[in-house]
Amino acid sequence: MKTLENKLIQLLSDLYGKREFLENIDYSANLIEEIPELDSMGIVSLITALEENFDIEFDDEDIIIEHFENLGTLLALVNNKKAH
Amino acid sequence: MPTKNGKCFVLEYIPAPEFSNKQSVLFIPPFAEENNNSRKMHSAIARNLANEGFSVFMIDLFGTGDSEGQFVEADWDDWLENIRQLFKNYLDNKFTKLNILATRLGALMLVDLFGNESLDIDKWLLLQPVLKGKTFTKQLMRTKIAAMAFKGEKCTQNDLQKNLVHQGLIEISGYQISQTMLDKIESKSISDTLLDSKNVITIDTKPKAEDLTLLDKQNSMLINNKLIVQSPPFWSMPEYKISEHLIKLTEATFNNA
Repeated sequence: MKTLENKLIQLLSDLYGKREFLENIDYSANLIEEIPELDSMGIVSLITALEENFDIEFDDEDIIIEHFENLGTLLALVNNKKAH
Repeated sequence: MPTKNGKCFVLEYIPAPEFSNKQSVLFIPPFAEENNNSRKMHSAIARNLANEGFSVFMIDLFGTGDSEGQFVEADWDDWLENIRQLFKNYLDNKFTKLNILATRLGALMLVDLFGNESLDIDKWLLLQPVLKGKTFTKQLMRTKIAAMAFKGEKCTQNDLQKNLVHQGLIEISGYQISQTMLDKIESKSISDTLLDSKNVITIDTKPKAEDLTLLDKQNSMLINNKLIVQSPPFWSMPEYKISEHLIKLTEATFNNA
């Protein structure tokens, strides 16, 4: 069974390519710097994909750069949303 | 193409003369930055279709691309009139088969314009259509919120709505969008009944990791008249790889393959 982390990496890879980078990613690698497509529109695409794939809903307050900075913060955000 | 507001730029991809079967495809573009991001993919699809014998028409709606006017002056109903005019003046009765490819918000425009008319259109191909205008405007607002977050500023959709009421327009991804335009978009939707019509085909390119296990070796899946394709959301990214599969899929759709 795929872990949430695996699913998240798969989703990021489907959206932005960068497969090699994402497969070897560590939790603190800066996603915003490594993935140029992760701009304002890219973040909204990611939010939409996360909502559809993980059956969660984001609030406006969730849209802060800190949440999308690295895999660790993104995982924490998704876990937090799934818990509520 | 002259319109009541000014000239609209129309690009035609002409097929090689050996093709005697006069078929055409009219592209209806997506909205604002999504249109900009989609140009590379659209051009690749259009070139391929022209190579396969289709005349392909692309229009820059009033206030966009190489057409006259400013984006902030753009009006939903004027855009529909631009499309109708292109259809009537340049396409209707001139081709044995007329097809339409509409991407994202273009699909909503197409349905609003021709949804209740019985036109002799062979196929409607909706590429990742916006089904609910309200969902789309929410995404636009989120894009603005994300852009402000990059600047270290926080805001909510309520804040943006208040500003919108006060100023009558909002800047999103470099485009000045009027409240009238947003209200129009928000009021539109595509019905399930229309999506179930036999000549309407939807291509859904959302990367749903779970669904991909169901994809066949062609990397696509057909459920009723909906094709699910693995492809990045090219309309939301300035740099992406051209999806050869999507190009071939559009060709196959219009060729009835």
